[in-house]
Parts: sequence; structure tokens; C-alpha cells
Amino acid sequence: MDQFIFAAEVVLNGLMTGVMYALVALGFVLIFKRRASSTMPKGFWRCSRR
Amino acid sequence: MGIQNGQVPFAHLINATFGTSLHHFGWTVPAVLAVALTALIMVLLAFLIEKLVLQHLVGQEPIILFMATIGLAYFLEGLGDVMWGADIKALDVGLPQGISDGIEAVTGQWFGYGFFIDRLDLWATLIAAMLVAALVAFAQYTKQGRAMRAVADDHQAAMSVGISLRFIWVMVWSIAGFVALVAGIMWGTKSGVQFSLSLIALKALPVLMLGGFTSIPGAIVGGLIIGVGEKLFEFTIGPMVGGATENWFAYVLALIFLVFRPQGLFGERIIERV
Repeated sequence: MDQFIFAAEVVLNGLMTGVMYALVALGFVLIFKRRASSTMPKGFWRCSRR
Repeated sequence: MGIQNGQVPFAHLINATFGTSLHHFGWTVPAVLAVALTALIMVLLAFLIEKLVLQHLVGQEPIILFMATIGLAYFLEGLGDVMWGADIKALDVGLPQGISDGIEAVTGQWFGYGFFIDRLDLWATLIAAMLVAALVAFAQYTKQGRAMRAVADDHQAAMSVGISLRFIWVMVWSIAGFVALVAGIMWGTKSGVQFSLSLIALKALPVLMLGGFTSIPGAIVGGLIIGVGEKLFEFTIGPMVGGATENWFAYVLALIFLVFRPQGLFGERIIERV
């Protein structure tokens, strides 16, 4: 039982660290999202994907 | 720290060049003003990056843009080093820190064992949640946000309906800079402002591989999985192998994902055929 409670505490702390990681990753995603299509229009993939 | 404590930028450089002994201006800047100034500088930086670097690289291969941004990162890190010196600085923006007594008391009552929850982590979570909600609302309900999504969806179609790509680029860089500023303040408060904080940015890569490089929900879910995963792994498997698994767990998980699901959990599947 003790182990479960410890694990729950670890999970809670992990979730909060995870949010901080997510915040950093979010900045990257914003840039990547614009970039993915700024070099190749979607239509290009549509035509070449056959 | 930095200008907030009245430290003169480039003091070492100026002293070395002109033989002066500058270090502080003798007055301090309040935290709110310092944060506002930082935000302003980030927007200015976004503008300069667009003007000086990315404008010249429109339509280039992704790897070229990637290398340009890596170069930018190294340049900024070096500039920061020259500006303020490389020692670890404490950052206090007025958020509560230390163990949350309320949670400890309540969980102590429930389970007979008080949880250790850092109040700073709680605040960081709250602020991050608010930031994400604001971002989603911005992208969904404002004109600029819709233009931003249009550009992400189809570059040329967006241009053909009169959306200014340059404006969107500056805006995206400013928003990303602002998110990075919030993340930086949080991590800086948590573990001190230092250059090894860029290792956190390195850990964002496994998070992105897990969630998919172009998905905002992916980044959030990926971050949570990595955060919980590495803590639980350290808790369960760590003692068997002598601990310190937190440093490599995220990367190994990313490696497994690269082998079995390269686009990540939420990423777009890119099919390339030769």
C-alpha cells in the first residue's frame, strides 16, 4: 500500500514536470507547424503520393 | 539577476576593452517591468530574425532552415554569455516556492503520508494551462489566429487570399518567443538561470518525437508522458540499476518511437516514395 502512495506522489510530481516539458516543446511545435508546409505546399504531397 | 539587479550588459567586454570597472548601475528594475522588457526584446528579436535570417531562406530545404536556427541558438547562447557571464543566477519572480503545507496536511490525513508537492510546480502548471488555453482561443477565434492556421495548412492558398506571410512569420516567432519566455522563467525559477538550461530544450526533442512535430496536443501529451514516465521509471527500475535513469529514459523512449512510429502519436504521416 505504501508503495502505491509513493507511486502516486511520484506520478503527481512527474505530471507537473511533464507540463513544464510540454511548455518548452510547445514553442518548438509552433515553429515546426508553420514550417512543415511553408517549404512544400500540401498539394505537392497530394500529387506525388500515388 | 541581469538587468533586474542593475547589472550592466556586456560589463566584462566593456571593462576588458576600455579598462573601466563597470558592473552595476546602482538601481534595480522591478520584476514586472523586467518581464515586460524581456517580452519586448523577444518580439524585437523575432522581427530581427525574420528580417536578417529567415527572409533570405524562404523556400529553402527544411534542413537548411534547421541548421540556420541551430546556428541562431548557438549565437544567442554565446551572446548571453558575453552579456551577463556564465554563473548560475537565482531568479525570483514572486511565485511561492517550497512544500505546499495544505496538500501535505490533507494527504497526510487521507493516506497517513503527506505528499511533497512544490508550490512552484503547482503555479507553473496553472500558468502553463492558462497559456495553452489562451493560445488555443487565439488560434480558433481571432482573425490573426485563423490566418496563422491558414498558412500552416496551405502556404500558397493562404498567400492567394491576401494573407501576408511576413506578418504571420513575425507573429509566429513572437508567440513562440513568448511561450519560450514563460517556459524559461518557470525553469529559471525552478533550477536557477544557467546555460545548462538549454539541456531542457534538448529534452523537448524526445517530447516532440513522442507527440509528433506538428501537433500541439501531441506536445502536451508527449510532455506529460515523458514527465511521468521518467519519474516512474526512476522509481521502479531506477533502484535496480543504480539510479540516474532520468537522464536517459526520455531519449530511449524517443528511440523506440522512432523505430516503431516515426511520426509520433499525433503527427502527420509523411509518405515519401522515391
